[in-house]
Amino acid sequence: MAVWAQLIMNGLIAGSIYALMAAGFSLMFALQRFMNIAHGSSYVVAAFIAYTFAVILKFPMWISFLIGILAAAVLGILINLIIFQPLQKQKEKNNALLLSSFGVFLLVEAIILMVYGADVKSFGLPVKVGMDVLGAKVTPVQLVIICMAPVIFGLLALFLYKTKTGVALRATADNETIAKTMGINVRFMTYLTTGLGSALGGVAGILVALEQNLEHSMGMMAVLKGLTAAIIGGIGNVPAAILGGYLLGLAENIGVWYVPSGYKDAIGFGVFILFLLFRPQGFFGEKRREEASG
Amino acid sequence: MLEIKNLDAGYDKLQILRNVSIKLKKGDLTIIIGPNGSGKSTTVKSVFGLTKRFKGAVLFEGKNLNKLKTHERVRLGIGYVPQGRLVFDTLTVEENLEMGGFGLPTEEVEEKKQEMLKLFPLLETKLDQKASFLSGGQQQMLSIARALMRTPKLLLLDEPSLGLDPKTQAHIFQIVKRINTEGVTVMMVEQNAHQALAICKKAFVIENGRVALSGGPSLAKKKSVQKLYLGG
Ligand SMILES: Nc1ncnc2c1ncn2[C@@H]1O[C@H](COP(=O)(O)OP(=O)(O)O)[C@@H](O)[C@H]1O
Ligand SMILES: [Mg+2]
Repeated sequence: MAVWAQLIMNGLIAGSIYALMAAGFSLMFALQRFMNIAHGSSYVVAAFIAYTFAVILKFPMWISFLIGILAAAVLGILINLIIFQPLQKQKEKNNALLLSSFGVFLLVEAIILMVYGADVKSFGLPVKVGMDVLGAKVTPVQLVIICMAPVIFGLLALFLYKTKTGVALRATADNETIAKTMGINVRFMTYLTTGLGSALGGVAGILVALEQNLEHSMGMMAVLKGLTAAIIGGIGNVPAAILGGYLLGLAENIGVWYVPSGYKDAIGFGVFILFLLFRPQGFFGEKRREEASG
Repeated sequence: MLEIKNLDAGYDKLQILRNVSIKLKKGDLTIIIGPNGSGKSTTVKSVFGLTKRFKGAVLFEGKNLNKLKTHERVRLGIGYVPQGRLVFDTLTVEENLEMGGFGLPTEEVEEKKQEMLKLFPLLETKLDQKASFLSGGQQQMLSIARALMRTPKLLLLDEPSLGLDPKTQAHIFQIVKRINTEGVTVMMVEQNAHQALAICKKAFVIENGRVALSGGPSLAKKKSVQKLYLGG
């Protein structure tokens, strides 16, 4: 029993992080129609900026986190403004966008390496022994991760479904041209999704940095897992991507009960390839109606 | 009210419209007919800045729209019912209506919504459904209602009767006529030339990206128009 409780709890912890990343990917994909790999930099940058303020400059933790998340959002918007918007006009824009987003990600990683060096850093929280939660051992930070993610997703859902701006954002994702003819400023919506998506990635990065530690290269795994989760769920559909994140986390962590734990990542990517082969629209995805336009 | 002036427009490098000039007076009900692919939709889209403009201008109430973004043009009071019943499939009927009034004060949106449900009572019971579940006719009604949410001074409809059964078509024409009598200037692209010519005040024929003919409802009596668009 305890073993299962632990495996499920581990799955939920990893799943929360994957879901946060996947939600960001999905949100941005819904409007920009390409997989923005540069999303990984929001994860890294938020963690390192928060670290800088909290550990080096001795700001209060909460303020440092908020600054980190804000920095990720601003960076995401700037990247969009300076790099992706001009590329939108290109003919082969999808390839150009995908590749340049990967380039931006590597560039940001290199800058972090240059500024902070290669050694592993940590927020230096006192090591706490795990508490018993429903038969599993969980540290306070892990408990925060598990509880915080659903709250954030709830707020995101409220925004997307209950506010005018949120509905306009979904309308823009549905049909950008028609959204324009409703008086919606589509360019603004793009910046909004980038900022929001990057902030979600920033939260994930800071939570992981708190739970484990910081490295300049920490973003790559987050990108791979977030992308996998988004595609498992159904790309461009935010709730589906979130569920995909939890599914992936649970599959990996319950799977290690059956195979050596060194294969954990392999399980995730195995699931990913199976989805690409047999259900490319994702677990919850539906085929969209062809756009008719005269 | 609307003046399309010597417009050359198209897509990317491809020019479709050649020297198109169309003038609409306040209160007009104007129809545009012409063969498939002749540039009717391109003309309508040009009013919203959805095409590439090479030369010429679009003026609305004397104001040159050339430099304005699509959403800015719409906010001046121009409503659009696009070809192909392009409602937001993933949004509910109610959300679709609300998007039509995007940027307006909440009370005004609520008021207009009630007004639209009176005009299109069919939509009342469907408010919470995804627009993709509506029938073709209902989607067209929703598309028109959505465009009316902003109380436009000018309404552009692109083949609103396309693909609908005759009864629904007649209903749509009746509604367009009513909208016009209530003071909205209308420009409508229609294949259904018989019915459209019957309710219009002015008509333009577009062929190969040019205005080939223009005139009043009497255009229907012209031999060439009869042969091409009225089945004899
Ligand atoms: N988005 C587009 N990109 C390139 N060419 C287009 C596009 N839309 C329409 N066209 C072309 O422009 C011409 C006129 O199209 P359109 O204005 O839709 O015709 P109509 O509405 O009169 O049937 C056609 O040859 C069509 O293929
Ligand atoms: Mg057309």
